[in-house]
Amino acid sequence: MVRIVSEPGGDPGGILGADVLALQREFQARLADETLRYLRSLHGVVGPSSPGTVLRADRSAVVAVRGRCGEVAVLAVEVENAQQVHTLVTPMLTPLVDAGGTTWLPEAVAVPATVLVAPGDVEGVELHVQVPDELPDGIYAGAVLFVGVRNGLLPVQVTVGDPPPPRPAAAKAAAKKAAAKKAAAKKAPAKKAAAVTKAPAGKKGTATKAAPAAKAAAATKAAPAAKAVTKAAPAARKRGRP
Amino acid sequence: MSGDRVRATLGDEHGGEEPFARTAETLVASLTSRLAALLYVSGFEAVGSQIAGFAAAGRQVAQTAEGRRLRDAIVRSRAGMNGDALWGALRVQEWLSKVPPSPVLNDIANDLALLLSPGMHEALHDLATGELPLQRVPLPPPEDVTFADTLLGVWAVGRRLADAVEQLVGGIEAGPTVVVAPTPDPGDGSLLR
Repeated sequence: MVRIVSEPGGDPGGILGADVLALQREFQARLADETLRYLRSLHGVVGPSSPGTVLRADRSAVVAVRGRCGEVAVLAVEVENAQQVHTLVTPMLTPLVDAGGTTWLPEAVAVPATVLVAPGDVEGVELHVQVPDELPDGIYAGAVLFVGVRNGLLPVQVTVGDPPPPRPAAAKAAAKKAAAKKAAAKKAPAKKAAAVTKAPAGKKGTATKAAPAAKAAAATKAAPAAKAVTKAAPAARKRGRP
Repeated sequence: MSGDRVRATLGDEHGGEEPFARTAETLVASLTSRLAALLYVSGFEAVGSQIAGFAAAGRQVAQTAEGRRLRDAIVRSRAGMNGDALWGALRVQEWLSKVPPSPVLNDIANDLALLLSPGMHEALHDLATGELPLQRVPLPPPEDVTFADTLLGVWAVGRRLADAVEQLVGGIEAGPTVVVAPTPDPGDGSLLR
């Protein structure tokens, strides 16, 4: 409710005055904002050119290395400058992830950290990666990022320990089908027994016991992976602190 | 243990077409355009664009392991929290998220390359005679800017620039430099004894 003061000598600001002033301020702020945006749209659509650099690499090229826990793995890359002037190269490593979901934030030192490559020249850069002691075996994938370069990600693969080789897709599909058939075959006799309803308790008990056992096995398998993720992160964080 | 070397080739954007090829002419044109733009943009936009450019560099570096660790440390630190509060209260974040980011990393690399380019003098002559075409390209759209990304970008750019300047001059001599002051001539006057 607004009270209008009409008495002579009354406060000209009043409640109504304060509201109007606030509205006026808000209007002016928004007007300034919109005006700036409009002016920017007139002359800010184009700007000075800034020629850049792109990474041209074979799509199948992957920088791969094997490493052991507690040792240093070295990723080596040759950088060729196909431009007509010098190029500044700063390589850095992204986080590495394995198929099981373990994320590794590697402690990597680039040698050299930054290099000016002359036109037509090829310079070698290395990334020295310290493999943590508690890192689980696996194939860790990531990329080398060339800072300031468009599409500047070069895929990287670090194999730690002796992980089982990844199965091809067709073999995986066949294995899944076989597993599904086995599961169906196991269920069919149990169903028949249930349909008979007077099947011996032992058969039902086996079927029932199998499920918790399978669940327990799955839980046991999941627990070490979860612990590995937990263990890896604090270790990586500790190393990251000066 | 080291693996086999893979070759990565760095080339020009858009197949090297003008104005995208990095040559002495296009780099001089780029620097000239950037300086000329300062005449008709406000300080608000020029400074904002530079800071937004640092934030863009920070976002790129945050994709790396080292960048991500540092960014997480900035966010958790008192400096990071105070920075967020300061920017929020002064509406700096709002301002920076409305200006197109300047390609800071590109500009630094281009200016350094120009200093080493043998064709620079010829390009400057073309500029003086008006034969150098000044190119203008569409600006990138504004992006959200955070204090952590900006600080990370400042770190990345500073580190890269420090290494580049040292390489530009062919490295710095290791070890201290000692200049022996010349021994003053005692003179022959009796007053000095």
